[in-house]
Amino acid sequence: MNVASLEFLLGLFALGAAFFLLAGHLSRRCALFVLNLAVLYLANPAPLSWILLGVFLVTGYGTALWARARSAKGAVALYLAVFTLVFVILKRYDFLLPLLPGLILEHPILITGLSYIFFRQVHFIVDAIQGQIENPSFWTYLNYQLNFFCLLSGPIQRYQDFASYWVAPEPPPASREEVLRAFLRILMGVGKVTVLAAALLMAYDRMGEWRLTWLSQANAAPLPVTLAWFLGMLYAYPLYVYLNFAGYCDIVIGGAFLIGMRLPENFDRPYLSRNLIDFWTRWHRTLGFWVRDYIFTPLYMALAKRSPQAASRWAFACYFVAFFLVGMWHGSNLKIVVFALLHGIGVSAAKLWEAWLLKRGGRAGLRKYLESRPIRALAVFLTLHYFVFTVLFFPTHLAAEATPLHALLAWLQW
Amino acid sequence: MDELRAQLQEVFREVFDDEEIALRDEMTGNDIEGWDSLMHLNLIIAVESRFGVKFATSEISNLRNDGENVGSMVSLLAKKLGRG
Repeated sequence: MNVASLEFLLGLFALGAAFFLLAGHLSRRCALFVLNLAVLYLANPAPLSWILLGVFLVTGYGTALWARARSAKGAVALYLAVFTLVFVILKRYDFLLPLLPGLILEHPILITGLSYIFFRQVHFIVDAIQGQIENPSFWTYLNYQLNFFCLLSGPIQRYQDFASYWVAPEPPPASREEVLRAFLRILMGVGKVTVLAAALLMAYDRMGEWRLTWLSQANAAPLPVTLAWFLGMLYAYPLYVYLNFAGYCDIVIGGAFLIGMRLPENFDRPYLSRNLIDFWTRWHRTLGFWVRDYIFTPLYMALAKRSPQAASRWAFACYFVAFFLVGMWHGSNLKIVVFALLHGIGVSAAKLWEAWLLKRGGRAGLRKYLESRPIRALAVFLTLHYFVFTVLFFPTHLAAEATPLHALLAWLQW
Repeated sequence: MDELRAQLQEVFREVFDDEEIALRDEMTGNDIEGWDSLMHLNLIIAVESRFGVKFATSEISNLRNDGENVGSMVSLLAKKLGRG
């Protein structure tokens, strides 16, 4: 389902116009529930997927409530391990091929928004057993998980925020300006997705075709042309990914605002980050915060409590593990392992560099370093290009020979 | 509460290795040098150990949100210790 499609946008505007005409919270909630199911059905009508999704949701909710009543952390850990294993199999990660019989990965099951359902479920279970969610109802939980604004690609809203809306919805946007701002946000999102991102993708595809043509001809393209082609490919894809995803977020955040639902922001000028740790608080922010809260924090705290003397060394390892896993989530083929390793190394290196600066110049030296505008400009430039380099390993739809990675490896004669 | 603040100040001084820290409720991460996300976790570990309490994952991250400050930590700690 394309959120920038005319059908989706017309549906969104109709919902925004009619939602507050419905009398009472219950009728509005029922309307949203029906819409959630309808979007899910349109995205994937396969009965097997619905059954498996139902099993996921019921077991997740049941485990959270059961473990909360009994403080059964061992059982939760077991459930999360099994849940993660099933998630990994359903995502068909190629690196599992040597470990699992091929048949297991050749299943026909496709669950719409599986990754985001997984993230929300882990958050819900952990927060529930830690007493951070009071009296969760299955009705609220079900709509939280199936909320069509966040179903396809996030943002990863927290249960507490959704529940406060669900139980006591916000009133209609207070002023005409607020409504216009929401429409403008949607319009900007549509522009990003359907004009800018689409044009970049078209250019990227065309450049890929050029590369295949050059390879099929006896005479290679002149060096300046090849260099211009490489740079074009290098920048086009990261820019396309950003505009496409940020545009999607603009549409769903603006659309949700029309019915009084506040969704978390997912981007904050990520290409102006000064290092890769900073980058992950600006790019797909709700994923970065989820990783911080449900992978990095528990891992670091467990290790640092066990051996406080080695806490700072553990921090580097935890940064690596957390962002290696983030990288791995982004794809299923073997190239994504390199992408993930580069992100794990990038965040660990950023922390190591900061520790070195602190050791060398103390807190005053670090502050001076952080306040320097030329250093900031250089740091932003280097971070942007490091990220752009990692995207060379990001899976795309182009044939391997048409990609800039292939050209780079051929140039290096590797 | 004042005793709690004084004890918390000792923890802050120890974690940030700065004997001159004088806690006030309105202080945030910007007012204490080095209070970044990693030091926040070290601070939480030290507070848990000193007061024998445990913070939930979402409490740890919420304490770093905009609008939260030392006063938020004092209140949460007091609640956990049954002094709130």
